[in-house]
Amino acid sequence: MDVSMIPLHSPENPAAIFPSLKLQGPVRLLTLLLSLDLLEMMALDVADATQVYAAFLVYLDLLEARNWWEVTYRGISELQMICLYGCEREAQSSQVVVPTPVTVSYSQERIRKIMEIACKTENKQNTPMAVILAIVESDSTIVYYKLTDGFVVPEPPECLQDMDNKQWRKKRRKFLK
Amino acid sequence: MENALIPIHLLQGTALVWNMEDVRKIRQCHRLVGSLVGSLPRKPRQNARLGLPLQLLPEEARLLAEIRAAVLLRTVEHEKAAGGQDEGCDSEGSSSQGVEEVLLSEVAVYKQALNESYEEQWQLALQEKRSLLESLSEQIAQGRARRRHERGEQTGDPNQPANREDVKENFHFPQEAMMVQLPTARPAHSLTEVVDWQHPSPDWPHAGQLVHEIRYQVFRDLWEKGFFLTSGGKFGGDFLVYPGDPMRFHAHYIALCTVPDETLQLCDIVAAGRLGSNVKKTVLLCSAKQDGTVTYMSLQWAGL
Repeated sequence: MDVSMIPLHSPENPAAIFPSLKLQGPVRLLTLLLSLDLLEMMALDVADATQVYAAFLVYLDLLEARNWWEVTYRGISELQMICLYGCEREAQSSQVVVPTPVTVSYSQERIRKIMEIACKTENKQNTPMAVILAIVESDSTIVYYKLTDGFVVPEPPECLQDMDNKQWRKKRRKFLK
Repeated sequence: MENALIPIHLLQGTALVWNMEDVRKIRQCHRLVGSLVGSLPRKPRQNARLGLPLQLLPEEARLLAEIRAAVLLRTVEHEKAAGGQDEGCDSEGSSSQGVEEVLLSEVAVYKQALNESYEEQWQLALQEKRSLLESLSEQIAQGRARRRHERGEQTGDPNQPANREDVKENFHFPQEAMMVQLPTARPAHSLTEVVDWQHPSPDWPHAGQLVHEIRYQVFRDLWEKGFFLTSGGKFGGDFLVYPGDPMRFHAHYIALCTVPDETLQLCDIVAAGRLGSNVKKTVLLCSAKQDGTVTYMSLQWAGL
């Protein structure tokens, strides 16, 4: 969908914005409400249309597909971006999601700046800065990658599971020979 | 000899260490790994296990030079030295005659050592043969007695002493049967000159290159943090970062070094992150600023 075609401040026909979402009944109302969110995001007027659209798709995905809690969006004029904030589960702390279209490329400096500014509002002194990069493909596929400041030790391989593995046993036998 | 500098030989930008003891020192004392790239003399037709020389990453070589544990050397080509045209690169007073004399004397020394080794091995082989004959002397005597008995001769006294003398006279130890040591490092001092790693030259082209400078700063910083590093080519990164010796640990991180303002394609970030999560490693986006501070960001699949 060409986002630039959407009239910015005239929410006359939200359904027309999403011709791909052919939804009926009560769901349609939800779509309508959500599309109002899109228009609101656009009204923030901090980012270009592709970033807003990406942010909206991610917002939709987090709310509807991932069942995140308390998802909010915030326009950050310093970055010319809309960032999302939400909790993966009810009891967990809030995380920062940075939606971005796949076509954009970032330098490490820029990523760091995004991280610093987007995390500034989150009052977390003892944990390192972290953002989730939500990369939106042109077909609206979204992949999430977590960026953390500094070093994050990877999780150890699941040894118990591996030991049950036939292939592992075979390999072990080979090495013990 | 503790403080002797490790000679690192440069060949068109490749840093090689030829001496076994030096390789061990580099790994044990300086926590640098490098990679063995030489063919094993006894197993030449495989490449699963390799031997000397040890190839060092440019960053490893520079680090060793910077901490004054090693010195970068390049071999002075014989023709060049003989021609005496490059005033700057020749060691002092090495005229063509001088070089040839040095080489000839080296050859003479080598040949003399070969001869001495032959003599020594000849003696050892003779001793071995004697002891073998001695241990079998009873059987030999019995055999001879039987033969004589078959021929119907009278048994006389066994003439073993005569036998022993025969051994030395008839003993033949061919030159081809001699064992020869193939040295992996040049035993004698060769004609080399010190290369300054701070200035680019044909044998050290890395100096001053932006990518090298960034990689080096990241390398040194990680090394100072106590990590072991190897080349990251296997996983499409710049370095693999190990928490301990790579023989004992899996790598924790795949380090990707970029210039701070160089743009990264998001596709590449996705690709690196996906690969990292598949091999259970964290992708480390590393960058170094002009003032030498190095920044790190860990990239992991968010699991959503």
